[in-house]
Amino acid sequence: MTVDLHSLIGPYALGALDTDERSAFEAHLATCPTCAEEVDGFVATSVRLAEAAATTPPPTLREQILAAAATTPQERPAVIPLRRRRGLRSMLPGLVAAAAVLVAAAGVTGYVLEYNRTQDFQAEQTRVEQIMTAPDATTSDKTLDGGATMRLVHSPSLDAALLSVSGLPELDGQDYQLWTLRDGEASSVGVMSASDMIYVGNVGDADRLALTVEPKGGSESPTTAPVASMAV
Amino acid sequence: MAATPASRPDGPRPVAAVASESSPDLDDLLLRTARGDDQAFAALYDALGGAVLGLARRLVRNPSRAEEITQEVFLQVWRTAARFDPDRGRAKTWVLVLAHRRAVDAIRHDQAASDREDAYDWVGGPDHDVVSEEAIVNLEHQQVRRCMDGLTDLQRESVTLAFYGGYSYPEVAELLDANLATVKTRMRDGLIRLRDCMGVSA
Repeated sequence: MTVDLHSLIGPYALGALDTDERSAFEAHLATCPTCAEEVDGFVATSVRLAEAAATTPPPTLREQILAAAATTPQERPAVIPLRRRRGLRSMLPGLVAAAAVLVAAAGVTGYVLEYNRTQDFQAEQTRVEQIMTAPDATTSDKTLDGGATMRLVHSPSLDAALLSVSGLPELDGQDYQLWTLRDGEASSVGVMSASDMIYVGNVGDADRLALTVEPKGGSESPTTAPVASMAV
Repeated sequence: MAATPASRPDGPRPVAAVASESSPDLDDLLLRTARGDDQAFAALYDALGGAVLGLARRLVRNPSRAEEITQEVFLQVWRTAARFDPDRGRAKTWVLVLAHRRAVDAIRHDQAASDREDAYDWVGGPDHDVVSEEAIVNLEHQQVRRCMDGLTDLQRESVTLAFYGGYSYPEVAELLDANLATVKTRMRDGLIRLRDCMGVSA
């Protein structure tokens, strides 16, 4: 005999199912709009039961929780992976992670939860959004051999750009590194993974961006020929 | 209230002022928490910390364990706030369902860690009457207590043992010496009566 899933509605709303039953019931819910309505009412009822149990917490608990949160990284919404970001941060203040808006706008796929200090994320998200929404922002795309893609969003008025790459060959023990080139002089923007995004500050009079493969952690100056480059 | 919400600009606000608002929009606080807003997180704690702690105490019946659970719950809220989708439910529900699950998990975990025989005795022992009685007597919320009084004994015991006792429905059936189908039905009927009595809208 199969279990009548709908009969689990009461136990479900009261939190009296084990994990497997709960998953099965939730799968059932997805196919049963009338059940969903009844469940909502029941869950709202059990929320009232929870509230009725409320007590006054000791002040120390509040302090502990807020202090713990202050040192606990948060999961981020849809972002592109950006590796070793914190270490890089000290030497490459221009590095950013992408906000969801940029992921969508840039058409870069990849949904990864990365753990980060949120203050950093917020500041970066702001910068990313500023570039994305700058009136003078221009976008250029490039498809590389092998199907990898690069996209550059550049705002001259902000003197900043975002470069995203997607689908580059995965490296083992090496990193991609992005450089700005001025009159043949290369200066490092930062290291990147195979699908990544990076903030380029002080674009200034740079005429090209170039991507090379470097030893892990990056090099002082390029040690290999670029695998890709783009005009700014 | 020192200031009206309308007079306050966006951005960091004194926690006390936020907490003193009669009905902070918890959905908004959780959305702001997801963006790393620690003031919003503090206000969310002020609004729901008492319920989380009270529920955890009721379930694990150990004050210091309940505080641990409360801390775990709020850190989980802080970490995973980005997963909250206001189109799919309310923040209050999100937090309190999480709290209930976490406390029940703690009971199961603690129980599994203890001796199997003891655990069995504990499940089958006379303790459930105490759980049920205390849960009702201690309910602070007048309306919930009144509505609980409107349930049949079996409905009330089924609901109470599951929600405040943390028992699974097969355990409730065992405790009440009733069959599984009966317990499932009593839980549902009990919830219908409570919902209608409390005027809950989903």
